[in-house]
Amino acid sequence: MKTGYSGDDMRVILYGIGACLAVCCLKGFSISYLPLLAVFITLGFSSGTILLPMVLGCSVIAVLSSELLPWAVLVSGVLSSVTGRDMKIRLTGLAAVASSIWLLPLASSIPLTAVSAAGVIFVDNRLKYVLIPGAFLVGAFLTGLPGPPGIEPVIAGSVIVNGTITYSIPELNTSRPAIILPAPFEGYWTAWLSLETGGIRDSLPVTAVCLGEDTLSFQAGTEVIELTISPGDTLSITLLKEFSPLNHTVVYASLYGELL
Amino acid sequence: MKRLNREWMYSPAILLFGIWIFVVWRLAGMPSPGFVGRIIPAAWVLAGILNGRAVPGKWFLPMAFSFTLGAWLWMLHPNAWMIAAALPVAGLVAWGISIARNGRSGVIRGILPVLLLSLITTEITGDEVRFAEIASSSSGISTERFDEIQLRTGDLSGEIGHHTTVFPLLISPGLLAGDNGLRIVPVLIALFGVLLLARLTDPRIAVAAALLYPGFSILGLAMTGWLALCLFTLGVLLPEGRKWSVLRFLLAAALVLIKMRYAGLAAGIVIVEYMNLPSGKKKWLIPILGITVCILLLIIDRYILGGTVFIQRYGNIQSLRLILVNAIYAPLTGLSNAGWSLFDPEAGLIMRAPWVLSAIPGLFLFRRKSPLLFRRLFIPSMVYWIVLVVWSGQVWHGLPAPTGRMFLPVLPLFACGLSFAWGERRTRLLVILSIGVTALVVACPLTRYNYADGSDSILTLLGTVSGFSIIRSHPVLLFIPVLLLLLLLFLFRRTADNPGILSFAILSALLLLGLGRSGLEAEDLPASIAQGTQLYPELPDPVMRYYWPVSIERMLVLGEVGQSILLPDMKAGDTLSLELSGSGGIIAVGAQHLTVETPLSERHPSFRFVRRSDSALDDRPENRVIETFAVPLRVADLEDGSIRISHDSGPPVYIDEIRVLR
Repeated sequence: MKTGYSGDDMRVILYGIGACLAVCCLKGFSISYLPLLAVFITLGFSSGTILLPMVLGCSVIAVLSSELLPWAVLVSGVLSSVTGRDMKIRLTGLAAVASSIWLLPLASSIPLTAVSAAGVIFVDNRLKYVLIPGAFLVGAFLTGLPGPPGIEPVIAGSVIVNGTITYSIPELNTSRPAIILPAPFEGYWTAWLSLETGGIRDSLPVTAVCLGEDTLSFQAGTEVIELTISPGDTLSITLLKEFSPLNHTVVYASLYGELL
Repeated sequence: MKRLNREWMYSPAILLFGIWIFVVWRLAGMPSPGFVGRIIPAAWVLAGILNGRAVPGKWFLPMAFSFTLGAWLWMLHPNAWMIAAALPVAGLVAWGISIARNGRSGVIRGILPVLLLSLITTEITGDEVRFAEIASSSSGISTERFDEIQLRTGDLSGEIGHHTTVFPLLISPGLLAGDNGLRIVPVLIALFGVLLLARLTDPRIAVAAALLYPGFSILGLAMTGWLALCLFTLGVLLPEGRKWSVLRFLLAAALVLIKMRYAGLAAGIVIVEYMNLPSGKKKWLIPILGITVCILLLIIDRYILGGTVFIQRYGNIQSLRLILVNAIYAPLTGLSNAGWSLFDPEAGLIMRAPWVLSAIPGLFLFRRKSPLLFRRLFIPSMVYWIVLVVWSGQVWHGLPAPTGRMFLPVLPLFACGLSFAWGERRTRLLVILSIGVTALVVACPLTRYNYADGSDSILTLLGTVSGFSIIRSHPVLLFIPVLLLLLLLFLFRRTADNPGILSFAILSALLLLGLGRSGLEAEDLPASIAQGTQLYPELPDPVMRYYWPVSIERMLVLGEVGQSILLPDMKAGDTLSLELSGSGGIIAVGAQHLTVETPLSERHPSFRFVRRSDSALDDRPENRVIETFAVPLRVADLEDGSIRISHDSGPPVYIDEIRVLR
């Protein structure tokens, strides 16, 4: 019986199922892996071998972070539906988008879903080339760009040498909006926190520093504050500004302390 | 007219894309708007100017869209903006390869934008500084930064370094333009090298070889790799004949003069010349004569001239003895080093340049089509690789300078192999992966360097650590990729599937998952676990750890108030297995106290060969044996399901690895 599907198509499906099983075996099952499986199967039936590298890339992302996988599948789907020369590939792209959006925040994924649907509709139309740039502009000015999915703040590392403590604090920006500086488990420390804030276009407060119940907020510029840190304290630095276009909000912080 | 419009439409499209990158960067608020957010658009604008009538290819629109989507989603992860930034850089590499179809000018045009990015994003550090200092002092050209020669590890004295003066003198004219002129001559050398590669293979292959690893590792930098490649390729391209053989011998000698590391390459060139000689009764005398002359020269230099000719470290006789030490005392280590030079994720050839896997099958076709050319490339490349691994032992990757630079001399061979596999669809995936490596290095310049601490800068950027590396793994683990490759080659010997792609995919997955990670390496402990602790040695420079007798991994120090390790999710009945060294310090593990006193190790007998006759070592942390301490945990040791390890009294304690046995 002639099925209309070649060995290549079946191979894509088998590769895909193998990749998904490998990811599940090695990282444990997560519901966010299901879109990947769906994409591989539809990809195989649409002769989408051309998209295989893209979806294999998604498998790698799945191994690295299950949280980011739906986004990766979404991006692959949007790209396929807009740039695919074959209707089957474009529909596969749309299927990928459809299988991933239910795992993502609705407001952030709607513009991309609309782009994907329009990409399928505007067959051979040059209009589709402005779909993604146009949707980006809409996203940047109206709906905003998707923020970090995890809510756990980053913990800064510290080094104690000869009774002095320094923290290596990564820069804060809208992709890393909060950092925690845990106090050493013993000893009382006098510390000096230096903040350099910039990349914004107004004078509203940019950063909040919390230690115990005390909170201080700061505008753009350079600040140095003196603190006393005791065992069990947690110092946190939080970005107050959310994303807005043309702002590159950034905070460089450093902390130096001495054992009392 | 329509055709003319079509031909010229790509230049403005590329220019517009450069402007679009700039606009998107600002609208999305991506980090580094003043540096990365400017140089990448500028490189695309340059590409637009240089494009002419070339047609970039089908990848252009998907790449442009991918960048836009990447910028859209950059806030999802702290490192996502670098991935987004890498996309247009990958596009530039693809553009360079595409337009190189148009002959010699296409080769230069294709290289320039990425070369510019390479130069701008790489600080002048390491050997470049040393070459600049030697260039300034030897040529008498005064510069602001490089006037004074600084003493470095491996130098014979404050005035005599371990580099020969040939390369520094060659690049010294650039210093006339000031400190930033240091790379003028190296850029010209690299461009000449790419043109030679284009002559040897094909313009597109030459550009690909230059813009992908290992070619990209030091593209345009003041290091010797591209000059060695030029001399080697020039020798291969010379016509056959006795008078040209003389020139080849001179090129081989020049290679040794640039750096003694290229002696293997030079030896390979000489071997091929000898093999090509017509058979004669006294042909066997020639190698004996050659070796005798070399030995005589070294003896005269060492014992009559006092070592003034080959005084540099790589040329003195003590250093040559390292070959014997590695070959006689540790042959298995040498064998595993050869494997690591291919598979180590930090600096292994295949892991940084996956395209090499496609080039290997191409080499068989190449040998069939041009046996003499193949021999001229293959034998010197192999001799170079063997000498590099045997001589340099564990430091074959030449850290802490840019990774991959040691493999420049084997580039012409693999470029020829790639030219035979280029048209195949399956080659494309591995080339795309290799483009990704170059793009990530440009977008995140710190990934250019590795520090031999067992982690890998690119894997770290991607958010993972592998336990599979020359620094951390047992050499037996190397059997896994080797067996995997052999198995796939056997299984797929008759199908169209590429075993290279499959093996690379599986190997990458294993690496990402941390193959061989059996415990928590002290230097990988996250900030949520290690608080206040410091790494020993403080600086990551691997030169400081080259000759540590026990392990060359960095260790974590517990020796002061406030320094602690807090391990979460622990239960009573678990056992902590701690690999520690120390000279009598006491640490607290929960409520228990552990005295850590481990014996001093002895110098390996092989070092007597290189004039280290005393077997006793100084009482330093790295010279103490690392021992395993098993601590069964009790309820009293735990606080809220966590266990704290801290320093109690006495000298500091050094931690190598922590395992939890349940």
